[in-house]
Amino acid sequence: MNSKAAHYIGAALLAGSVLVPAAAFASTAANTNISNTVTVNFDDASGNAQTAVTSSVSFSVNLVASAPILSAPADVNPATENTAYNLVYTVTGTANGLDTYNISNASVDTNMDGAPAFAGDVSIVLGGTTVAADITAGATSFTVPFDGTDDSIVNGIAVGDTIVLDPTGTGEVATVTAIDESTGAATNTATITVSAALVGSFTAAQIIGQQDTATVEVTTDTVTTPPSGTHNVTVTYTSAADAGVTAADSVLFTVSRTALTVTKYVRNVTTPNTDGLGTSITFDGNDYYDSGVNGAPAETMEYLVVIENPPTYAQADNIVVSDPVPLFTTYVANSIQMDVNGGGVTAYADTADNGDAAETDGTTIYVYAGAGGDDTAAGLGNGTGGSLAGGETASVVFQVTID
Amino acid sequence: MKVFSRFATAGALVSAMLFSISAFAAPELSLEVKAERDAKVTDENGKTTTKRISAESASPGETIFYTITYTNTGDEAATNVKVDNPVPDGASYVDGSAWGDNSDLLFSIDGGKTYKKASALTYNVEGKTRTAAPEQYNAVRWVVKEIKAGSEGSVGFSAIVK
Repeated sequence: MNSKAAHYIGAALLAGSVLVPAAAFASTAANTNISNTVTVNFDDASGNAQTAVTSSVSFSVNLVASAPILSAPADVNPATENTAYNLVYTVTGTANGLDTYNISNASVDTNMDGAPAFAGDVSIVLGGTTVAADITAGATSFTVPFDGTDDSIVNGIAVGDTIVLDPTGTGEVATVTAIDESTGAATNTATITVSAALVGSFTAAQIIGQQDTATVEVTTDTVTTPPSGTHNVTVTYTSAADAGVTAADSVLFTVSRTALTVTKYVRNVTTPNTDGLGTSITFDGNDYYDSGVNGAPAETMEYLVVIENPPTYAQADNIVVSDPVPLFTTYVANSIQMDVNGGGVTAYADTADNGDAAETDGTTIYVYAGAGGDDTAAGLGNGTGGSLAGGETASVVFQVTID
Repeated sequence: MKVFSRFATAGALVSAMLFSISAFAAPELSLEVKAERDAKVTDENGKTTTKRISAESASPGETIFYTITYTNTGDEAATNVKVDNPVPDGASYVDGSAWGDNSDLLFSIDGGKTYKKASALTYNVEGKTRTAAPEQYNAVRWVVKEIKAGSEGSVGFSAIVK
């Protein structure tokens, strides 16, 4: 989350609260039946009491859409081209009833060939209700308004669901273990039981929102000009009941192109080959070849590993070269050397954890290639890789004898 | 004989009518309660006006206008009439909203056990006497001295949906 993203979210939440000022504070659950009964007692002209008459009228409470609360998945840096990433959102309802939130995605792309591809959840449904009567701390069950249907699901909240009491305030999370709506017709309330005693106390008409997760899959596109570009992805949750009620979050993907190229060459040290050889490269006064080199048992062969970070690409860090010694050859002790970008050839001891840039047990060679690498961290192969800036090259050599 | 018999018939008729009045003359109240709300209505010219419509449903924060209409359909006046209306669960009384024809207005803060004039509604908190705030009223009573036979009247109040 960068500051710009935070700003967007702040604006979205603000807009939501301006649109529905009532919902965020205290409310009665959607579908609650509010009945008003009038009783008239009267006497006749002589003062004799007559039978009272009554009359009733009722209405139901509407859903008031309210922007859900979103978690903020971390920015992704570095991200890899053409790779899928899952943004997992924890979404908490703040409305007084069940609502569906449609998920839409957009991206502002910089130095990318195209927009990312989106997949995953397209909507999330969250139940919602309100506190019917004050709840004291330590309670494991409490009442909420009856939604008119005795089906053990009260305004979209069912057994097993995660709910948040007073989501915009105290925000206590609980798990529903039972719902009793059997007394709904008589008392106009249902009872929710949760798995653990509530820590907080809550007052009537505070919101109880369902909490669930939604996953948005973002597949990065390719970088136009190396080394990197960005997808600034905005995920928006829009109330199906009121399209004006939205919540949004932005996640910045910094996409870097995989930069290093590794090429391996070899030469016969004992009897230099001269004919039928492949592409050659000269290093430290010797010619190495990518094919066609041969040797006889007991002869010494020298491998050259060239690691290149192409020009204009981002710096590559933590570069570790691990190279198993080939079958039917024996590593020549203390033969590892490295040159970093023409800075001079340095020889390293095989000893592990001695502070230089290489270590080996004779079976696998580890070189912490580039600038600044070392084998200090305990254990073979656990050292810290070096760095190569764009356009820099590291060349590693080591020797074996043919068995 | 003829004359007598005619008198007898007329006398029987008169007594039957008298009997009817003394046995069945009574006040009879019929009652209607309306719940209404103000809805914004946009006409075809795009002009928005507020229209009071029947409240089938309402949103939290909305004001509900309750109107209670009583009619004496009997043939005798109703006296000492007390119209009692608990403020519904899920709604709160709007300050100053109660009104009524030819009636005295009382309120209750104990769920309708006792009714008093607003200024006399007090309760004790830590030994101090305080006057109840309108949102604490949980029942309204209109006292109407007399509803004459055949006449009608209305009372009402407003409540905000919690």
